[in-house]
Amino acid sequence: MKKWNDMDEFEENLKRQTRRTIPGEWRKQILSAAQTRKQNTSDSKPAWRIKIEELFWPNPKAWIGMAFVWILLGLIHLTMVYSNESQIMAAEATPDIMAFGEQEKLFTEAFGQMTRSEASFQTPKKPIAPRSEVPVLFRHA
Amino acid sequence: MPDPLDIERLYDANAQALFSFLLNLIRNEADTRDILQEIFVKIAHNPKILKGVRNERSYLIRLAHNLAIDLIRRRATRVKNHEQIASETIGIFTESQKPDEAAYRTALEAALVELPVEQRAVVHLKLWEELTFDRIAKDLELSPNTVASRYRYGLNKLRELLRPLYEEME
Repeated sequence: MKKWNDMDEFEENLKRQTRRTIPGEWRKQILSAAQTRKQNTSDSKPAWRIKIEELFWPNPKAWIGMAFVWILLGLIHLTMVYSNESQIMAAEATPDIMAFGEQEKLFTEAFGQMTRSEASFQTPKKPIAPRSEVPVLFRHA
Repeated sequence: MPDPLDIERLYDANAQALFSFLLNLIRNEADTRDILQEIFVKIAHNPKILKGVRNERSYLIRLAHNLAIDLIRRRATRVKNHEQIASETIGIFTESQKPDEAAYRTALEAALVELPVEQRAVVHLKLWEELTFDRIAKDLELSPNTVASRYRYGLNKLRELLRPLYEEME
């Protein structure tokens, strides 16, 4: 103990110091806490959840993170597809709209200032026929 | 799920070593008990964590070390309580009836507290668990060089701190 200059002896001296022992009553307390937790876990969780946990062990957070990334990618993909479709539809619709405009112009010319909707509801009036041309069925009414 | 005997076996095989290690790092019996319980509850809750583990002791030491470091960091944030905790420090060695030995152990306990916790962890595992530098490096996820230098610094500091006691005894 007295040779503090000698490193090996110093080390040996340190190693010889006996350490405190763990309190005996802890064993029962700690093990019962562990068993209680284990029972609670197995009682409260349904089998499917245990299976899922086993599947995602050892790092559920990593799996959740990956799932989130996939969902994000899916959403981005859907957004892009949707925006492409609208662009294509818009591009396809342009000539139709132009043709519709032309038609409306012609229609307006044909029916004067009457709007298209008015024109569509206007039923063509038949000229009143002379009595002699009225069908026999209605002549004696 | 392992049968209850597995956890008991795990406790009997490792609790003493973990207790000494944690007590040396934390220096508080109640906190040591809480962490020890947390470790075994964790294993009971998810026994699969030990499934792919080659060396149970290594795994448990790493777990204990991480939990102890977390606790020490949490303590450090509570500056007001720090002094109180320091005064609650507890001996890690058995009490000796021989006055010289008792004085030496008291001085050694005080000197160990002076070491940074990372050096103390390495010194403890090397001296009292008799682990190799390589093994400690794996357990604490450090490089062997870091472990060796921490041990040397730690031991030198202990020697310097205990020097007055040695001189007094000479």
